[in-house]
Amino acid sequence: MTILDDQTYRRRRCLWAHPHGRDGLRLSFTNVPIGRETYGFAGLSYFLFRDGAHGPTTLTARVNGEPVGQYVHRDEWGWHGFRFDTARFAGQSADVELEVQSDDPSDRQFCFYADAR
Amino acid sequence: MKLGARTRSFERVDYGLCVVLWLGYVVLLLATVKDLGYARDEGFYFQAARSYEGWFQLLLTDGARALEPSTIDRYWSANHEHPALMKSLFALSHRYLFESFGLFREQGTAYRFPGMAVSALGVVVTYAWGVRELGRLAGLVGALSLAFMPRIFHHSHLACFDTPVMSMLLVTTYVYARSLEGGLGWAIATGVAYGLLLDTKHNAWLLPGAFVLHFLLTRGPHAFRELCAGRVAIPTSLFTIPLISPLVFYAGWPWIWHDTARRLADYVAFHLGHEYYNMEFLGQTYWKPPMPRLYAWVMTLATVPGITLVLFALGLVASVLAIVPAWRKREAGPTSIESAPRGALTSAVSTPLLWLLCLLMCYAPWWSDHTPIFGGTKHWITAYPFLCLFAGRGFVFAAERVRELVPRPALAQFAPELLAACVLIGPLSMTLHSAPWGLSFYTPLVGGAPGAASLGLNRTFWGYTTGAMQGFINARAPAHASVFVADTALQSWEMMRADGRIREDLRGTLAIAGSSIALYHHEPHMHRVEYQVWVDYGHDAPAAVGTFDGVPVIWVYER
Repeated sequence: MTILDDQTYRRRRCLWAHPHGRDGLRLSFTNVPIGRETYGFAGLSYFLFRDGAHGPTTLTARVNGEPVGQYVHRDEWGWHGFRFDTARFAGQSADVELEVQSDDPSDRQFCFYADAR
Repeated sequence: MKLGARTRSFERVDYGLCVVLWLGYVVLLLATVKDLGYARDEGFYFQAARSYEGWFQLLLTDGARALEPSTIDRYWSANHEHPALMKSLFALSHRYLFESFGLFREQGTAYRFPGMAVSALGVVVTYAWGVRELGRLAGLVGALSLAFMPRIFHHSHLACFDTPVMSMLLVTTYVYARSLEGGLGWAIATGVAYGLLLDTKHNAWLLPGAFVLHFLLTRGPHAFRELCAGRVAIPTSLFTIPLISPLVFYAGWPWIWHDTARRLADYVAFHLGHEYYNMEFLGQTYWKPPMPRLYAWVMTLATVPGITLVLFALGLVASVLAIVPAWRKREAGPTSIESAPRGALTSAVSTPLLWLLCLLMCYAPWWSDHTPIFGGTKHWITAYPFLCLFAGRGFVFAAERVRELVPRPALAQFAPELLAACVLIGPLSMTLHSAPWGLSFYTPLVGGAPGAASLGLNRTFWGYTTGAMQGFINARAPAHASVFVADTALQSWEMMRADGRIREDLRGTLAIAGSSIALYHHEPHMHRVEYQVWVDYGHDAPAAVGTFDGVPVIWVYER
């Protein structure tokens, strides 16, 4: 966990998920209670990346191996929300995989927060 | 004392007062420098001055080698984005006043001394010009109003260029105004002064435009036709500026002695496309153009003492009321001034017009959508001497009215002096109170520092407030600790160590990991650094907070 600055330079606590190389970074969570949707926020330090000099970063979510959504983040947005529809898994406990990937993987100090509801 | 008199002559007492003003201001600056930490840019200029000092040494011992292009590049490449006059003076001050004569106990103060000296010159020239145009007391009010602007006072301490360029711009304008009265000497002096101004900082670039505009306006709407017909002469100084100043500029900056065109082009390009700064204004951090149109004006209102602004407004109105009828009268047909010799150019009308044009010229970059986001008030303080000269004129206006209101003649004769004391005591008090937190100071108009903080105006920049926490750092840092210096340049930290302000065993670092003490200078865009400290140190409770009038400015974390 770390803290980054959002577009008003306020603090946001998040999970640091820096993808290395074009293959990206895969984070797996087992036995996760699933709700009607998975929502969250993601970003990079606004101060460091606000001029949008890098390409986008993609966050892909899978539940039990099935894709449930994809969020494409641009640096200059700052701390930005996303949501994936997981209604078909609601009420179950399942394996969740989040993959962070970028075609421009240098300096992708990506950080996110996610929860189910 | 006669108010508002254009004395034209400088009496012995005026020379004496010039010396007193210069010495007094320099002594006041030296007396308040002790806990003023070294600002970020000072660190870079110390480094450059050290390099230039090495070249000056070499010049004395092996002149031929010193003049070789490769040697020049080696010594003068440091901080070549700014011309060399002030940094050369910093170097010479360090070499002679610190190392040779031991006049200063701290190296940093020796580096800072030329900045103080040239800044004090600005106060003196404001007085000199005020005396000539407005009389002695008004000149004094103008000069001290400048000296007692808290931001001017702060910047005058520093080994930087901002108040020196203010002084040099004023000197150049004053000399130019004198040249309009005739005499080749003043015209040559204008060319030399403008060359030195170019060698101080790039604020110089727009000034000739103000001079040309002034020339055209003082000749009325038919100036161009009259010029073509040879009925009016162009002031000699408008020739000496392009003829002499490039030579002075060139001579004073060894970096451009070879490969001149490319290096000058790089210099200009650097400042036209300057990398952005961050500046908080009304709660929002701006970092790319355009800056809000009101930024410079609001910051002027918020940082210049209110009474000085009131006097300025009075003086400006009084001046405009004098300028407009005179200009209209000229439209009616040829006047004596148009056909007169050059000496007739400076008049009660043309001098305030020159002040006004210079003042507007200094603010002009903040009207452009393309001006990069620079720092704060320091970028237009070149306007403040002119603001204070108008304040002197406003003082004359006010003092005459106050004197008329006093019924007893015995008392009335002292009314101007009493009024002068009244209009200066507030700025003096604010100025002394602001040290060493100069950039955190705001006037009562916005509620002082607390009001400004609530409004979201910038609390500090340049990391100089580390100096205000030096006692705490020395007392609490473990032996041989690393201190994360945040916005303080490492060169500035090293100077604090060299001067004994910071313990010898404490190492400055830009890495939070491994540090035992971490500083945070509050600016919204710097929060990122504070969050990193929280994560790395595992807590978010500062061990000490440096405040100005209750407003947190710098805080110190202990691991």
